[in-house]
Amino acid sequence: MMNPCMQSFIEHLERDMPWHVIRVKKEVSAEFEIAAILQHLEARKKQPVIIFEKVRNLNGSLSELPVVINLFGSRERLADAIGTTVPNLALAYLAKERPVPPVVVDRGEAIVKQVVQKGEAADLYQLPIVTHHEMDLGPYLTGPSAWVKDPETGWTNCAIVRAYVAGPRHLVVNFNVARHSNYYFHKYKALKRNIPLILVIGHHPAFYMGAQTKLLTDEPEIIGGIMGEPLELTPSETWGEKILVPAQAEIVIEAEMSTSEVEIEAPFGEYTQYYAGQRLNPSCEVKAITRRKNALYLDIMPGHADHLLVDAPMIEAYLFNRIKAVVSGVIAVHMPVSGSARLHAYIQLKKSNDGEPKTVIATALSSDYRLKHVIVVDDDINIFDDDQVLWAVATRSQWDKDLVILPGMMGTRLDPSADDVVTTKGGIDATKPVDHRSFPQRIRIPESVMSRIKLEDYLAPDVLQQF
Amino acid sequence: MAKVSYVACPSCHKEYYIDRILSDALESNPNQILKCPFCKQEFRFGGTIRRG
Repeated sequence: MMNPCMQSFIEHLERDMPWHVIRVKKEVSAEFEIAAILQHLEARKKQPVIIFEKVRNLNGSLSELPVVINLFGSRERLADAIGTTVPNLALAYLAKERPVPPVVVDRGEAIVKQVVQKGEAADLYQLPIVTHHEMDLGPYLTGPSAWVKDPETGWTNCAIVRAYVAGPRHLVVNFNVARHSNYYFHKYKALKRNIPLILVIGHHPAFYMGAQTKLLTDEPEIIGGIMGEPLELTPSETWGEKILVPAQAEIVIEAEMSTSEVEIEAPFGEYTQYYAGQRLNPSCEVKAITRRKNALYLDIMPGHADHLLVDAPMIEAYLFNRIKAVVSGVIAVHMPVSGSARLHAYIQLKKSNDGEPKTVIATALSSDYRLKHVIVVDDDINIFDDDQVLWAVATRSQWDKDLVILPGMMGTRLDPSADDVVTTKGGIDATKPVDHRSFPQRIRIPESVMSRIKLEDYLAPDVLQQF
Repeated sequence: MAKVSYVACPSCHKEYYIDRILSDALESNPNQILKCPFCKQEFRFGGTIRRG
């Protein structure tokens, strides 16, 4: 049985949740126009997957490959991809985050081998690669899960990276300095070896969610756990059985990353919605491109929900585990898009003593270098609703007692308010005292009345439709 | 606050900002090739960095 793939997921959406998919048949430019259409839809609070059927490639010809964008732009779709609901997403992810060893399949069973281009024939310019923001240095691959194998343990790390397309067989790839892929990079560098780099573009969302695990392990095993079945791998064209690639991916790019040669990369519009400044990053030579015959090209829209949510539930799951080990009353963690889904965390707690919220704050802030602000709330606050969290801050916190400030911590360079990688973190205890008798009661309408009253019994259909 | 450094493109004369590590690297290697995000022209740095 073949693994579920990106196309099977999109077919499922079009069949069972059709409001989640829009197809654009009119020709669009990959330079800014795709990004502009998505931004207009977001302004209307819509987050569909958009499939652009007519897009020109970097050679200027109509591409054989449609562009898919915003696959990850909705928590509802991510939850659906792993068979759960939005409120349970992080906990369901944790329950599945177990190693399931991959299986190796023959090339004949691998849809990613239906088209094989090697050497000079491997031409990135045939792909409809998108340019997103005005000051981006040029077209970027934003959808790749980059696979790097640890030269010592043989474990594979997977990370979503940005890759600047500097030529038809030439990429410049950014590895996040604080992540595992960069740790592996330095192992290869010490060995004076270049890195076999696999860029996976397009697979089932559960694949991407597994690939974003925060565990330091052989990540294709975790992908199998999240997908609920062993991930199918197949030998690469360049390195054979030494380096395996996902068999049911849309597109795989095999490249050799230099550990000695760097070149110019960025500006690039990043998740904080600021440009990353121009920098030096390792250059990569493309060795082969393999893909399915009717492949879809996956783009992730940087700085928008598509980019933010592809990682947020996994960070939430990781933080939940870390906090749970210290404070057992933690109920849920939410990284809101309003905090770039990295910088803010809302944490729901059923506390048993008044020291727990600050312990939660300190644990969370030291568990992820990007996380900068934490708000801890009680279990009657919906942490998926910014308004409710801010209401709790307004009515349940006194900042002379409830504010925690931790200066001089490691942060992210992408936060322009930080002093390079050094940042000040903070948290707010917006919980009521454990002794509830000392705190006023929250207003409410009787539950029996709320559940009995149906708006359609009181409002005409045309009036109701306006709401 | 972030320490932002700017370089100016000799072709289109627009300024854009660069990473701190690149900024440090340019001080020891003024021949570094840069690429302007506006006009997409490559150029040899050889100039000055404006600290923001």
